[in-house]
Amino acid sequence: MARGAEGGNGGRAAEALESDRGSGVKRRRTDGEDGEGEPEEEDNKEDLISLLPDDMLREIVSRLPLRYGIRTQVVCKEWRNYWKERRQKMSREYEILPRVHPSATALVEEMEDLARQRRLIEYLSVVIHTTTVHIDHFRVILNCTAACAVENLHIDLSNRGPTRPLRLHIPLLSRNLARLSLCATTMSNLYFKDARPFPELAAIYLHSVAVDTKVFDRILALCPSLRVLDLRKCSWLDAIAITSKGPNLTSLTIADCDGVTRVDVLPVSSLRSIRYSGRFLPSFKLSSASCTNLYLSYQYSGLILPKLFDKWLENTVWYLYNETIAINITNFTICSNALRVCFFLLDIIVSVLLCLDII
Amino acid sequence: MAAAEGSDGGKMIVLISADGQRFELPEAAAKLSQIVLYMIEDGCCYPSIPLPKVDGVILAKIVEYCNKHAALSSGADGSSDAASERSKERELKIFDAEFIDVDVTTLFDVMMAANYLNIKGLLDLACQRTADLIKGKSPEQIRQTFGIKNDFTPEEEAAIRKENAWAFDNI
Repeated sequence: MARGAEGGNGGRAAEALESDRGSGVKRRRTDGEDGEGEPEEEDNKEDLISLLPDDMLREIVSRLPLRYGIRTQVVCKEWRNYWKERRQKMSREYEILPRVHPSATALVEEMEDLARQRRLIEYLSVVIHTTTVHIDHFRVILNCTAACAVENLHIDLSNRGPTRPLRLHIPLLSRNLARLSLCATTMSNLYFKDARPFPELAAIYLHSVAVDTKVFDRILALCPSLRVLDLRKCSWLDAIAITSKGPNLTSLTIADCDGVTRVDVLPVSSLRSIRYSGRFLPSFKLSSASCTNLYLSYQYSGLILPKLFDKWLENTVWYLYNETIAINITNFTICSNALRVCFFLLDIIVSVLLCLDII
Repeated sequence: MAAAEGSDGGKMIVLISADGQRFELPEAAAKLSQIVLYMIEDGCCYPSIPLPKVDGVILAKIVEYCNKHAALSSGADGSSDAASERSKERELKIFDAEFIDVDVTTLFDVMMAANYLNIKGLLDLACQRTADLIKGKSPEQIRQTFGIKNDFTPEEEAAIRKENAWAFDNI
C-alpha cells in the first residue's frame, strides 16, 4: 500500500513538472509549428468539450440548479438540446377537470407515489378546475413538491369555483424552488416559525392571490435570492415595503392590487425594472439609481385632489428628481386617465419631466 | 512481478499507461475501477493491465485517487466506530476538494479517464466540479471557459433569453 501511495505522489510531482514546462511545448513539437501558444490552447479546449460523451454533458447540466441550468441553453445549440431533453423528462403537468380523468383522487395517489419514490421533478404544474380537491388533497400536493425537490412550481386554482379557499403553506414547499407561480391561492400564516429559507428561489409570480401584508413580509424574508417579484390582482395586501435587509430585487411588477396604498422599495438599489399599474398611489418610494425601466400607470376614478397630488409629487417624483444626477432610465412612462381630466396637472408633470431631462 | 504482494500482504496490480509508464497499486484500490475489476475477475490482469486510452500524467492522478479512497474506505482497517468513520469521511472530502482543483484541461482528461475506467466516485466528483465551474457564470463566460462556439443568431439567443427572462437576470 505504501508503495502504491508513493507512486501516486511521484505521479503528481511528475505532472506538476509537466505542466510547469508547459504542455504547449510538447504539442508544438509534434505539430511542427511555431504558432502562438494561446490560440492553440483555445483549440485544445474546444476539442475537449466536443470529446465529452453526450451522457456526461447531460449529467453535468442536470447537476445545475434550475436558474443556472436554464442559462446554459444559450451557450450553444447542443447544450440547449440537453436542457430541453431534461425538461421533458423531469416535468409533470396535471389538469384536474370535473368528470375527466385524472380525478382528484387519482392525482393524489400519483403524488403520493412520486413522493414515496422521491422522484426528482423539475417542473410541476397543477391546475385545478373542480371543487372536489379539498384541503387534505392539497396538502399531499404540497408535500410532494418537497419530497420531489421541485424547482419550478405552478399552481392554478382560478377555476375551482366558489368554495372554501385552499390555504397554501409556503414554508412546506420544496427547498429547491427556483420559480414559484401561484394563481388564486390563499396564503396561510402557518409554519413560518423557524422555517428554513429558500436559497435558490429567484422569481415569484402571484396572480389573484390572497396574501396579507404580514404574511407577504414573512415570505420575502424566506427568499434571500429573490430577483423577480410579480404581483397581479393580489388581495389583502396593503403595503409593499422592502427593507435594506430584504432581497436584491431586479424586477418588480405590481398590477391591479387594489388594496395597496403604499409602496416603498427605496432601499432596494438593485431594481432595474419597476412596473406599476393600478389605483393612484400617493406614496411610491423607489430608488432610480440603477433603474432602467420605469412604468407607472394610474387609474383613478374622479379628480386627484391637489393635496393628494402634492403628496405624490413629494413622495414619488421628488425621489426620482433627487436621484436624477446619476439617472440611467431609458424607458420612463407615467400615464393616468386622471391626468387627462386635469390639464393643469399635466402641465406640471410635463415641466417635472423637463426638469428630469427625460423627454 | 506477476503476482507481487504488497507490504500489507495484499496483491498488487500493475497498470500501464498509453505512454508506457508503470503504476503499481493494491488490488483493493485498482478494483475501484469497474473495468479493472472485471479484468481481475477474468484473470487477465497478469503480468500487467495495459490502458492504451489513458495518458501517464492522468493515470498518476487516478492512481492517487484510488489509493486514497481504498485506504480510507469504510472497514479498510477493521475499525468501524462512528467517530473514526466521520473523521475518515471528512478527510476524504478534503482530499477530493484538493484533488479536483485542477485546470479545465486536466479536469476533462480526468473525467474522460474516469468514464473509460468506470470509476463512479471519481466521475461524480469531476462532473460536480464541472457543474460548479458553470454555476454562476454568464453564457459568454461559459463559452470562454470551455472554448465553445456560439452557433445561435442574436435573434435566436434573444428569444431564448426572453422566454426565460427570470433566470437570466440581465447577465
